Amino acid sequence: MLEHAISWTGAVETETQLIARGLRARDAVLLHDLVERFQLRLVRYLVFFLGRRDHVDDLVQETWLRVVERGKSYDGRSPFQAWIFAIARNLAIDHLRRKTGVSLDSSEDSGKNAPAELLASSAPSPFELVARTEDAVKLATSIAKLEPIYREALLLRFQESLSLQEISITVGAPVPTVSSRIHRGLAMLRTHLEGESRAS
Amino acid sequence: MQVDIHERTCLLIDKSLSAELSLQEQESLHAHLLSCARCQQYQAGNSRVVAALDGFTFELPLDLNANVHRSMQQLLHKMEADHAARRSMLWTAFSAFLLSFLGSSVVWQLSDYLAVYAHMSAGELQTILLLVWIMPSLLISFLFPLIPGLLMVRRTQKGWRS
Repeated sequence: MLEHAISWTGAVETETQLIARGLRARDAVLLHDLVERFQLRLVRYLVFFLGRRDHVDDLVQETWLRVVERGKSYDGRSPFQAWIFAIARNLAIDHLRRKTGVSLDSSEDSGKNAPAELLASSAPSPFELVARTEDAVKLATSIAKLEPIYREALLLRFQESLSLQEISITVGAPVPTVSSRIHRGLAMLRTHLEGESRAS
Repeated sequence: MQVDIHERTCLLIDKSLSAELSLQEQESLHAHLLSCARCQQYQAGNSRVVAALDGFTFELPLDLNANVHRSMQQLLHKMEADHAARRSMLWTAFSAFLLSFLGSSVVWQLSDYLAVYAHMSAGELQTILLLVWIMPSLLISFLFPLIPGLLMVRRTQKGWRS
């Protein structure tokens, strides 16, 4: 539906330009369509970023309301998911700041300073609950322990297929930092997976 | 020397996961991988992690989409109502300004005749009209468009207090 469209000027609009135009006009049909298309990805992104499932639904709802309010600021030059994830990310950071006084965004080692409540829990992590393949089950624990900035970088790169530049815009960090986060995150998970395989 | 090649290949494998390799880099990587089991293993390890990330299947709570749609509709209606109120306030302000301007011009034109009845000079009457009528009415009509903003600030302050 949103692939391409001919605008009244006769020029072919890309999908992102079409979304930008719809958001400027506060097109209810487009907004409905966007929710249907991006909801699951938004939930997945927030779970990866926060490392927990509770409060995600509230943050998702808040994110969409922000999309309606600030739709005019989306110019259609970057993928829509990069823009909406940046909104969700800021809301999640605000939420954590309000709740715990901790920022997950302040430094590379910020995750190490997260409160114990965020890192250790006897309940299964959201990743353990949704792991469906053998390797995913093996990775679930280590993903939960991984710092949010690494989880986020891996998700955006390999699940959302965003470029380094787009991830850099989303997370507000320079491209080399994003690249380093991806490689470090991957190395940690690879080591864990290889260790698990050797053990079994 | 061999170690350098392995390290370089691993870096290229890492790079290939986050960026586009140049043709030369692709050829170099491909040539080395054909004959190096260690680097093949490294690449397979990375691919396995990336594939494992696909193995997490998230599901949406049943009512989440419906709740989001409902909230968005409510917000859209509220924004539309606010927009209409702002537009109507601007038209009212414009009309008030126009009427003030027209009324003031008419009175100004008639000041010579009115001065005779008021037993004062036209200049004195114009000064009084300017201070007591024209300037206050124009000022009020200028301030009219600010009323919605002031109301919004008041509403926000009330929201903070509650």
